[in-house]
Amino acid sequence: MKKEDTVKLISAEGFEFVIHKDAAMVSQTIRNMLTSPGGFAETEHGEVTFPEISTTILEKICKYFYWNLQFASGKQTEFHIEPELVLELMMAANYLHT
Amino acid sequence: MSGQKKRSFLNEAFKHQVVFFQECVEKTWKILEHAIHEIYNHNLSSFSFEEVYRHAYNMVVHNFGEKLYSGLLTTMTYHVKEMFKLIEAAQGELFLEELNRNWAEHNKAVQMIRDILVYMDRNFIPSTPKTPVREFGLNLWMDVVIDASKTRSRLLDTLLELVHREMSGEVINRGLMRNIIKMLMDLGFTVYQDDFEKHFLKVSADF
Repeated sequence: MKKEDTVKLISAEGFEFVIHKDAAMVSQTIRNMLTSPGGFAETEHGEVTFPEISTTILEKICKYFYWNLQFASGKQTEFHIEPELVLELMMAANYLHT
Repeated sequence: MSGQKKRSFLNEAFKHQVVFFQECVEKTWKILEHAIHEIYNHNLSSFSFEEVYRHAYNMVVHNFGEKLYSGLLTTMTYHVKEMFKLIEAAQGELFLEELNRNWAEHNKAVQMIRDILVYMDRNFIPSTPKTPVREFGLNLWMDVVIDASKTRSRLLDTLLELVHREMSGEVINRGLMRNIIKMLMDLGFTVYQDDFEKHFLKVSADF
């Protein structure tokens, strides 16, 4: 995994998730962050901090990104979501436009 | 009983958050306003996309979309007016170049504003009769720059003069010409037809 192909997502508690850019760009919001012209801090450093998303939720989101890629390429499995995460996950999805 | 208690507790917590946000909405808007100014000044490296996007998101979520939108209009109008002053002040050949340069900058700025305010574009504007950011950017350029009393005739005269010079065998800056024509096309096909094509065809026929 080359560094240019990855992006670091940092949760509210400071946990870092390094994932592929392709996966992260499942989220329209992250796509905009990484492709917007004009050099925002994120484009330059390849890392994004989410002070309002907790580690548990962000982990689930990263899993979802990869699941989404797999699903799009034909491997159709189920994506399990724990009921207690649903509300927060929905809010995050709305925010990330996923 | 305990269920009821829990609910009121949640409500309390939520209310608190809303009140809290109302207090800092001014501050949030100031940050966003500052960011928009910096976009037009090409000085964004200190900004985090996530931060700006989150502020815009919070304003829309807490029902301050109206304030965000009207503030955006004021700020953008201010900047386009500033650009117009530069364009108006440019003399002769420089006029087209200045126009082209500012148009490119304005376009880039609109694109970036759209990127950071995309949440508003997506969730607030469709529920109101307002124009989305990109279209508003074009309209604003049209109203402030192109529709200004002198620009229209000046632009046409300069373009036709260039055409005439090329027809007489001089070398002109074709790239610049192309960009300006493209600008007219971007503003709408009728704009291109009314402001350039008709006159251009007439002049060419005369030639």
